[in-house]
Formats: sequence, structure tokens, C-alpha cells
Amino acid sequence: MTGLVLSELRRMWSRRLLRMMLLGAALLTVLIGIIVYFNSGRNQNDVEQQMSVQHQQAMDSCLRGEFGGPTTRLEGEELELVCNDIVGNFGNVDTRFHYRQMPEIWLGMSPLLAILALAVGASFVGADWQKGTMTTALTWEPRRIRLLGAKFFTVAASAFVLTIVIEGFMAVAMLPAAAFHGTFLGTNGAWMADLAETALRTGAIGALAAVVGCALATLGRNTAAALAVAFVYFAVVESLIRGLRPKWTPWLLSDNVAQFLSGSSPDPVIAARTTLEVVLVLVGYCALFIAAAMAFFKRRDIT
Amino acid sequence: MAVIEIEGLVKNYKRFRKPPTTAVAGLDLEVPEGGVYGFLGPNGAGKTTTVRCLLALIRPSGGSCKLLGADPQRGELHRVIERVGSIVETPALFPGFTGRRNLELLARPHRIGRDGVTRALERVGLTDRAGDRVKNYSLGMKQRLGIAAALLKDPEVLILDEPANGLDPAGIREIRQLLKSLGAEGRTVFISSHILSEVQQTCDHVAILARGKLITSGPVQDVLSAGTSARLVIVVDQPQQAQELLAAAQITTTIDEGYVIADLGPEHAAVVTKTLADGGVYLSGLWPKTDDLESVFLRLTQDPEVAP
Repeated sequence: MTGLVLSELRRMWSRRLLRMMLLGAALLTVLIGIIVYFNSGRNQNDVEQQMSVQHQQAMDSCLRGEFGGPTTRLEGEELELVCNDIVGNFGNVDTRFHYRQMPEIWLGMSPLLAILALAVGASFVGADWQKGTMTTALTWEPRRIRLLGAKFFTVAASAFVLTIVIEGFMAVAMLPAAAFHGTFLGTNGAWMADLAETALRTGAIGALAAVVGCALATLGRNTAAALAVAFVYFAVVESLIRGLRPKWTPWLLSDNVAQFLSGSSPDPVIAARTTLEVVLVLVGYCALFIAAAMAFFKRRDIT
Repeated sequence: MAVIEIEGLVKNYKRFRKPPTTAVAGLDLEVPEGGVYGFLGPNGAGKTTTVRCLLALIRPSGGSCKLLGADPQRGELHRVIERVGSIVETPALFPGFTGRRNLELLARPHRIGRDGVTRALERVGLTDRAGDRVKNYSLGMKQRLGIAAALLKDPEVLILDEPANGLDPAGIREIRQLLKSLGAEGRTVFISSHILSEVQQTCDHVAILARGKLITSGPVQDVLSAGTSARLVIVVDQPQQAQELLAAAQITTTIDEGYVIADLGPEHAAVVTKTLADGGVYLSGLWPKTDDLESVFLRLTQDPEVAP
């Protein structure tokens, strides 16, 4: 089994699609890094001045009694103090790039990375069907479950690594901006732990997306069919469920993924779930896809 | 011991709102150990379906088949797969990878090293082009790479579906010699083909299939001679006069493309020579007429009394 997995891994990482994807991601992150480098801390004085003017205007309005909403003023309380509370502080504006934002940047990247992982997983098996190499593979390893298991493991492991590597590109690309025009403030041990946890979570979602893509391509024996099914599910089916069957929303894949990544699902039922519960839901879906793909693959003729 | 045993194999393909198609209709076949075995049949006869059943790629609708004693339908094929090399139809390889990389990807899980890959490439004459991407290969080169892949495991049994597809005459000759040498090494080479000359020149045994059923099988010479009467081909300057002389001697003849064909076995050649010489007709040539596999094949696959 190890040899089979190693062979599949070798094939995966020899694929031009994966190499092009990595190259594209590297170029894109460098471009983003350059943009952030030149924008970090730029116009700091202008922004501070603008904020100061806006702050003064808001204070003036407040002092004229335009509170902008209902408010209670205690007897004897000075109006200026009340207005300070209402208007708040406009002064602490920092336009520099803060390297401590990396976990949020990675979370922002994760939907795109998940789509890439889904495409990688689907095309890995889809290409096998399209080129007929599934037949060749089965004449070397006739145990179908074993072969497909090796493919699932390969796409999951590769998508996990691919996600983290692309996030790594982004982290490296942002270093000059933080070092020369920004700050590393707040990048302490706790931040490191948060960063590592984010990498693991986004990597896991990448792996899950790749497995789903691989399973769909196995069922449809086609890459395009797998991508189309995934698109229809996320763009149409989930929207329909949200509109027509709101009670089913806690079981939607994207809401559970959002909760797993950031703990910020808009659905109160999902938001109340613990990480373990969300993981169980996601693993359950993954297992269903794998089981369906394996059952079909085992039974159907290879023609 | 039979390397391949097929008993009553049936494969029906379901079709949407149509009656099922029968690709193989109760096939019985035994392939003995060693030598080259030709599995002949016109397109659609069920050859590839049979090969796919043997390799557990498709599930038969009935009957059974065994490869080296393992029943593919019971999931036993993995026990013997290390001893079997195969190509099903056109060899499917990754076009973006080099020939060598394709073989290495197949070889790695089976602990076959670079030397094994090099040997297989040498054996099919692809060493010089091993570093090229497969998408730049001709059909014949892909076919040879497929054979190299089948040879990687140094198998006891080779199952090759249409191995000469797309090869030029020189390539066909090379592959024929390769297959013969593999058979001579004691391996069992099972070739499915519709190219009759290839089978006749390469194989020791042959089975002819039509519409999913076996029509005949056995050593090539037995199949060639079965059901055909012995005849002599006579070459003379005056075929009409020769025919008259032979008719007077109670010998039935026909004229075919300028040759006189006598319904006699080679043992009667002296009678023919004497009869014609006595009549003043002298021979330029005389030889026994034997059917080639093409004639036998066409006769067997088109004869409604023989073909299923």
C-alpha cells in the first residue's frame, strides 16, 4: 500500500496542473506582497488629518445636541463627556501593515484555496478516466478499494500541503511590507499558536475539498462533471435551502466550514456547536462521499 | 495446466429502453501454458470483453473465468497479478509524462527499479525516446511502450489486446519477433487480434471467436487444415488443354486466375505430372494448395452452419 500511495503522490506532484497552480499562486502572492509593501503606512499623515477633521465635525454636531440616536444624559453630567463617549476615538489610525493580521489573511484566502483543492482532487481522478489510465492502474492493482483509497489519501495529503504551501508563499511575500513599511507588533507566542492553528484548519478544509472533488469525479468519471456538481451545490442548492428550508441550514456544508475556520457562522445553531461537533459533521459528509464513490467504483464495469 | 480457463462466459450490456446487447455468449476456452495463443475474431466478436473479464475490469453476466487459477470475480486476481502483464486496447499512459516516467510510476509500487524499466524499454526498442513526452510518440511507439509496461513485471503470462495496432510493417515485424521470443522463453502470450497474418505468423495455437462464441480452437496447423480438402495448384502454359486432359483422367479441376486447381492431395502429384506430359502439356509449377488463416477465418465466421 505504501508503494501505491508513493506512486500516486509522485504522479500528483509531477502533474503540470499542480505545478502551474503553485507557480500562479507564487506570482499572485508576490504581486499582493508588492502592493501591500507600497501601500503599507502610506498617507498616514493625510489619514490622521482627515480623521481629526471628521472627529471635530462629529463632536461639534454632538455638542449642538445632534446625538445621532437616543441617548441618556445623567443630571449634572457635562455634555462634552457625553459626546466623547458617543463619538469615540478617531485618533488611533494606523495604516501600516501589521504582520499579526496573517491568520485573518489566511482565513480570507481559504475559500479560494478550497476551490483550488476541489479542482485538484477532481482533475486527479478525472484525468485517469479521460486518459484511460484507470484501466492501466487496475491491471496493476486489481483491488479497487485499495487503489481508490490510495488516490483519496493522495489528494487529501496533497491538498493539505498545497494549501499550507500557498499560505506560506503569502506569509513570505508579506515579510518585506511588515519589515520595512509595517510592523511585527503582536507577533508573540500566542499569535504563533493562532497562526499554526489557522494553517491546520485551512489545510484540513483544503483536504476535505479535494476528497469531495475526487469522490465526485469518481462518481461522474469526469472532471468537468465534478466541478459542475460542486458549483451547482454551492451556488444553487445551498441558496435554495436557505430560502425554502431554513431549518436545514445547520447542515449546509459551507456554514459548517465557516464555523470550523473562524467560529463565525451566521446560523445560531451552528454557532453554538463546538469545534468537535463541527468536525464530526464535516467528517461525516466526507465519509459519505468516500463511501458512495467506493461503492460505485467497486461495482461498475471499467469499459 | 491451463493458464486461462473460461467456462460458459456470458456478458450482456444493458441499454436504456432497448434490449441488452450480448457481447459474449457462453464462451468456453482453455489456454495451455507456454507459447503464443491467438484469440481471433472480427470487430465486436467479444475479444476485448473477454480480456476485460479476465482482468476483473468488467463483471460477467454468467459463467466463470480463471487466470492462473485465480477467479477475478471472487477478488482473487491480486494473488497472481504480479505474474501477469497486460494491455487492454490502446495502452493508456499519461501523455504529459515521459515514457520512462510512465513506466517508473507503474514500477514503483511493485519494487521494480530503474534497471527493470531500462530493460523493458530496451526490449521494445524505445531506449532512445524514453525521455520524450508520450504525447509526442507515434501510435506505434505508444503501443511499444504499452508492451514495455506489460513486460516490467517479467510476467509468466502476457495478455495483449491488439498489440500490433498502429504499428508500421517494420514495427509489426519487431513485435512479432518479440512475441515469438517471449513465447519461446516459456511464457504464455495471449494475443487478441483481428490481424490474421499477424496471428498466423506469430501464434502456436489459435481460437476463433464470432458473435461472442468460440467457433474453433487448437494448434494453428490443425485449424488451417480442418474442413479443407487437399488440392494441387498446377501451373501450365495451356490451362484449358490441361483441364481437358485431367478431366479425361477422371480428375476434377477448376481454373482460378490462370492456375489449374486439381481436387487431389499432394500424394497424387505424380499422376498429374504423367497425365499432362503424356498429353504434351508440360508443367512450370506444381504445389499443394493450403488455406491461409484469412480464408479459414472468413469461411468460419461467415458460414451460417458453422458460425453461431
